[in-house]
Amino acid sequence: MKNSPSIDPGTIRAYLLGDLRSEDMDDFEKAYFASEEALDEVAAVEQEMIEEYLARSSSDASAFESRYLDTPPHRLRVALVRELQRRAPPSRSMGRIFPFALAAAILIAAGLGFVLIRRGGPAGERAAVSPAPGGSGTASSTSSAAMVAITLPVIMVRGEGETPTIRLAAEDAGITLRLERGEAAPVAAAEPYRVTVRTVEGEEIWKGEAAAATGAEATDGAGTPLVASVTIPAASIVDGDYVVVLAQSRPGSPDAPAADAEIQRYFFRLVRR
Amino acid sequence: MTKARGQPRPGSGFERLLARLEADPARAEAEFARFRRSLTKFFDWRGAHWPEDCADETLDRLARKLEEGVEILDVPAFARGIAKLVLQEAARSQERLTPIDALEARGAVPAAAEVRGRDEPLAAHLDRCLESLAHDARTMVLSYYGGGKGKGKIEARRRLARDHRLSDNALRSRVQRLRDQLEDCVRARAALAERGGR
Repeated sequence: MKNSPSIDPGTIRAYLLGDLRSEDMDDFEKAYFASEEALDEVAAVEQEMIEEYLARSSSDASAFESRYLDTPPHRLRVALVRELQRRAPPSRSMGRIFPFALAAAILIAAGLGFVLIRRGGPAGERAAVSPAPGGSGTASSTSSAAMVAITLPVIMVRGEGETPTIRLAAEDAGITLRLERGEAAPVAAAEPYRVTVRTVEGEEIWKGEAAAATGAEATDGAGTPLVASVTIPAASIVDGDYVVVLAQSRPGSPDAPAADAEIQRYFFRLVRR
Repeated sequence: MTKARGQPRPGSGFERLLARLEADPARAEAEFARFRRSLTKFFDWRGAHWPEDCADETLDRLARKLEEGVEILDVPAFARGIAKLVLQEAARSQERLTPIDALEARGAVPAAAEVRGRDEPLAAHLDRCLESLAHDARTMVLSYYGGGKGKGKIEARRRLARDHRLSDNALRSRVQRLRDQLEDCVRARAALAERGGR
């Protein structure tokens, strides 16, 4: 790998937006043909521009749209980065300062009503668990067993806030996930909700229907508005970080078949005690 | 001329090209891959719809010139000259043969309106392509994009680099190559789906 002086990021941006004069373009291209580091620098600035655009923090979004996105491979690249961001796990900062921050976070979250953990114990606490109705196939099998329940906040941006953590005991048979309503409107209120639980690497580990949160179950014990809840069997899940995808059937039309439409995502971490 | 090739025929243009790019035969294939990447990026950043095909066409023409015995003093400069001609030809054929609307209608590329929205076919292809990566590579690329915004993102990426015992730049380069790999995979899957495969 040959060394080369750094290229000015402003020049790289101008090149990627097609703003460089043709005589400057020759020198610029000569530099990245001669050095892999220079090529990587250009690719890195391209990556920054894509992330700025997706974060809506681009200072030159209209030029980006009219020039960079005019090319199909570039549109694919931007869409790919967006999808990778959607699949990315939340920030690991909490895990690295375990156990003190974890303990503090659980206490704070419990105080705020973000996390409500209950084990098979006092009857009053049991009432806080929302059993999943028919469809998910889990309510009847777990309703009399020890359960753990948690309210998951909507995560709009990866790394936003701490990851809700479920500490599962050996006797726990199921995990009830109560999903915060957030701001996303349901696609069609009459259609059932569907929940998919995936590892952060994308492996699907459980899928089923979720109960819409209505009536007394429209909020959790701390008053957090809920959209749905679902109970998943504890045996189906091992320690790790998970993504929960809430979706709802989108009615078909003459132009498009019926399909599940994603509403929003949640994250949680599972730790067996 | 493609990415995967067997042993070059002795005296062929390709063998001569390898020798001109790197005198050490043990490193010539790697240098060829680097050179091909530069060409592919050139076409990509200059707006070609099929950058890899254009890069391979350029390498074919370059190898033919070497096989014909044309004296080339500066191979990269000569290659850039060919590349500019190939780019002009590609631009003409793009106008004639592949209007963007048609590509979008066939689902080969995301529509402009979908770039910020949800693109179901792309998401499904990406899931499969992520599965094809080794576990460590998949975790690295997903973690790289998971650091949130601003300072948090910078810190998360530094931490990721430290965890992998890489410099920040080395991590960035590795993720770029993984993303390029995913992009190739998604494009191949989209093409396969377009032909009715799975």
